Amino acid sequence: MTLLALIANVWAAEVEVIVREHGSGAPLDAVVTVAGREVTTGPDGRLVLDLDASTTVSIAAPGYITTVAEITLPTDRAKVWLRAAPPPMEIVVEGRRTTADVSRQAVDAEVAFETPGNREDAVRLVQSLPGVAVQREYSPSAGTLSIRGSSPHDSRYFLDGIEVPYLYHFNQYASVFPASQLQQLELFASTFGPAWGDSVGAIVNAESRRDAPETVHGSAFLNFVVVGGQVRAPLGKGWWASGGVRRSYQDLYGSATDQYTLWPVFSDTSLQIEHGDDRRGTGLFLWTASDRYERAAGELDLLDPWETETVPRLDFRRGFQVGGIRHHWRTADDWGQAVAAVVGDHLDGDLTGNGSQHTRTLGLQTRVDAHHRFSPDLGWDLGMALRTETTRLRVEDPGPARLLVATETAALARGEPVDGELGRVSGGLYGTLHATLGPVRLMPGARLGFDTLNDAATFEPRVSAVTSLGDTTTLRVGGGRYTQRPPTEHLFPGTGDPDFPTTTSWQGVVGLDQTIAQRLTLHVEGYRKDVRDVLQIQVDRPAHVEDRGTATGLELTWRYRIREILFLHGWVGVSRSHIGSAPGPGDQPVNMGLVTSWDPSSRWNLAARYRMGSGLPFTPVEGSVYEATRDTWIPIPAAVNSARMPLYQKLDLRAEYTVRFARWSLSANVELWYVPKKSAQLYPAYDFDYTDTTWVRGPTIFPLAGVRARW
Amino acid sequence: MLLWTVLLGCQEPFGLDRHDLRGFRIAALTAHVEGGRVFPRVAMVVDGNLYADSPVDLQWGWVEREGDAVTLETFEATGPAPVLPIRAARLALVARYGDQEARAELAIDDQVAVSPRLEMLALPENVQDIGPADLELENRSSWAGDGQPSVDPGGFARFRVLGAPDGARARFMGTAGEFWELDAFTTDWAAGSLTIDDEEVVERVVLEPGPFTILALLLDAGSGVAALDGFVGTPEAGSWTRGRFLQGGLTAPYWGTLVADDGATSGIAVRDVQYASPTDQALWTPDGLDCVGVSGPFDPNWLLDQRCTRDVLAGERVLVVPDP
Repeated sequence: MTLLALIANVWAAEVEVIVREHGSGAPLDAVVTVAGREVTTGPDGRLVLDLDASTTVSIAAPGYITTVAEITLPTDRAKVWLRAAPPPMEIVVEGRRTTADVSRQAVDAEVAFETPGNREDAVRLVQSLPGVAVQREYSPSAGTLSIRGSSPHDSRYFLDGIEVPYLYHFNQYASVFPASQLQQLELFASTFGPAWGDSVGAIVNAESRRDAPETVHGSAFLNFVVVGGQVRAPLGKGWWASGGVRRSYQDLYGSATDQYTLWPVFSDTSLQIEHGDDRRGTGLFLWTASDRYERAAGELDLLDPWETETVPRLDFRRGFQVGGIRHHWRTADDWGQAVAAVVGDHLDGDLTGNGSQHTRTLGLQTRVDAHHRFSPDLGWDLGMALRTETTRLRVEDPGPARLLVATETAALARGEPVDGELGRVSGGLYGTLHATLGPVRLMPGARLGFDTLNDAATFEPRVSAVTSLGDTTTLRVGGGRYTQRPPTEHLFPGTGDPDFPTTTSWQGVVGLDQTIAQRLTLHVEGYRKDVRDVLQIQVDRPAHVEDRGTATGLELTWRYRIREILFLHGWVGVSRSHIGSAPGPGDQPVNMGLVTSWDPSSRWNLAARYRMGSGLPFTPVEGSVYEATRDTWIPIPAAVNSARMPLYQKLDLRAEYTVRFARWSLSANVELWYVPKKSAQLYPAYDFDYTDTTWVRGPTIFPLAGVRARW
Repeated sequence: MLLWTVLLGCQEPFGLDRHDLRGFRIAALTAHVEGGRVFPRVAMVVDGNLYADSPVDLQWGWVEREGDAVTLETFEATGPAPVLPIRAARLALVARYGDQEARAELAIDDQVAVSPRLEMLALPENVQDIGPADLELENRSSWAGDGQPSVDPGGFARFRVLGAPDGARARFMGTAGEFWELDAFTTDWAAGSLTIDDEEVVERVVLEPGPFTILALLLDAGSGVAALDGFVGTPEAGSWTRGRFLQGGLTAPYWGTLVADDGATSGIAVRDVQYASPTDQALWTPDGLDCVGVSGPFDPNWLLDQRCTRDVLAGERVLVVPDP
């Protein structure tokens, strides 16, 4: 309860009462009761009372704690802040909406912000979902998404239907779009519907927020690497804007080293100006991301003092800009979106005295998705995607040190000078029928794709079906054909092969949902992927094609959630994947995870996450050839993926304390990451001639802290 | 490699680095190209020695692409001093000794053989006395030394390659000690080692008295190898020939009988020495030696490049011309 004590007076007066939400300061529609008489505030949260003496009033608003205030004359104004009522004990049965995507998992903002180990990054949470190989934190592959046995380049990443060139800054630290700007994140681990194409792996689709803000909201945050903020504000007449910016800041206070003469720095921005709300709206958007560093091409610890002064340095710059327009609509029977965006992507690597690589891609992506339901039992989805782009690749004067930067500038490392441009137009039309036949919801569909860098059009029939087996059990099945063309860079003559075939895949999935006591949901899903003409992209050798790959797995997932109070997610997966006769890069026979978050009070949040994954395969070095021209050793790799990393486990603990003020709140959090010593190996390191091996290890315990202000 | 790993990754250091002439290793492969033919030379380290008692099996062939030597099975020549017609871009060598094997490649384009020499200057600094700041390049540039064949235990020496063409650079290796390169042709070398962690010296090690060998390999604008023997502590009695120390040797041309000497970095010493006359020097040839491709007075580096093995030299009486 709030008690307002104002100075007394004996004279009558008009008093303006202003009712606002505690925390945001937003005006509230409230009912003020004075001496048994009810008066309602206007839309601006204001009313005027004609009082002739000090009095006590009661203020009530739906969803807020009723507050009694004493208005003591003389005064002409009284402000009252209402606190939001505690949320009801809402148990969320995370049922799956019926779409043609059998293997769909979604993450919302609450889960994203309260799951430890993600640094409040929703996209990183994708790595904690079933089917996604558990990667080693701090390692160069920490941001690699290997989903259901697929290679990272098999999957595609979309924001509002527009494909973004890359998902993580430096493939490691943070995703290229902040969680605060996202409404939902979806992962289609395999066997997705006809709406998505040109992928034999998985689809990650992020949706930006479309709900119109009623007042100005924002947040600012700081952790040990990044500072950032975001704001959402109404502009009037149905228009609103939203924007965010993040930047790493360690470069600003002299963190450069001899190894990194320009400390890795990244930033991203987003801006959205929209008219409308989540039911219907049209808006403009702009997203950018930028990564840059300058490093010595080689491990300085292994070089002589004079060599450290003369070793080539790689100036690496990577980034993209996406700008476009989007329209969305939603009624009871129709929903969809149309979006068009210009996408610019660049990768520049200048290796002093040893060449450079400059890759520029400029393209136009358009996409339309329309859904209509004639009745609860019949409907269709129709859509198209069209992508026009041109890629300019310039590789100049590759020198011997190019091999030391193969992870960043792969085309330069191949050593073939290139100055070319490839135009590419690709796209697809799709349609899905939704028909209910008795107890079965049947969703047959197909996708017709084309690519001007392909030899023929592709036809991809897909079908899925859902049926209820009683009140609490649902069976889902799906399957279909999928295709994918190689990335443009690998189709360039010189650094690639224009004749690389299209990868094709047949995929199938069976899933069973079970709800227990209306509180706990269990889901078990089995899948199989059979892939032909598998493109293998590796940093230590030219890309090549393997005839066949397979992936088979079984995943058990459970979820329990009381919104705003508790969630408990867990999964166990067993799988095998092969490319040719070797294990695939994402072959993780067993992985599991457990995530829980609990709000014991309105101020505290406590959370924990545990992840475990059997060791992923890697290709070790089995010998070397002395390269006498340069006095170096050429590593000779053993059979592909013939060794495995050790078992990996990680436990993340998080505690957050929030203080709420009248118009804003401040949260401080601490996290503790624990990796057992046996799991701390990041990757193997070899001595000068590759005859001795050791492991680069990460820390076993790592603390983090951050603060966030919201208003 | 990136952000997290740079911040947080660490690894145990390896016991050896490329400067260490240890184990079974091809230390250098050089060549001279003339008239469409290539004349290669190899410098081998066999069981940590710069010589071998029995022949190392050396087989030569051609490959087109970098790294292909690993699968090379067809050879065109054998032995330590072949002459091969150029058939591809890269000359490949497979060296076998017992169950040990090493493979090497050399790009054959503009290979010009040069005959560099090494100069040694003893420096007054010692690993017992200096810190990380002293080892900075600009600080070491001011160090001055004088021509001496030995350094104190823990002392520093400077090795400089003489006779290198413009545009070349040198790479240094040694049987002991630690290197601190100064420029393209010069390195400082410590008769000991310093372990530095976070700008602090955490360990100082001093070498025991004894002989050592420094090897310099010329790259880029020339192809050649120079070797120089030195001593930690007081030098033994003997003389230097082509940079290599022969215990018991004289300081003017002499006859001597070669004997195996495991304590010598060249593996041999000379006994029963007597000065040679100018006539001896003019007439003697090594034709009687069971070596490959040798000529002129005895050169201890014939063991380094495997043209001779120690077994065939032991007991042979040879003419030796010491360095001036």
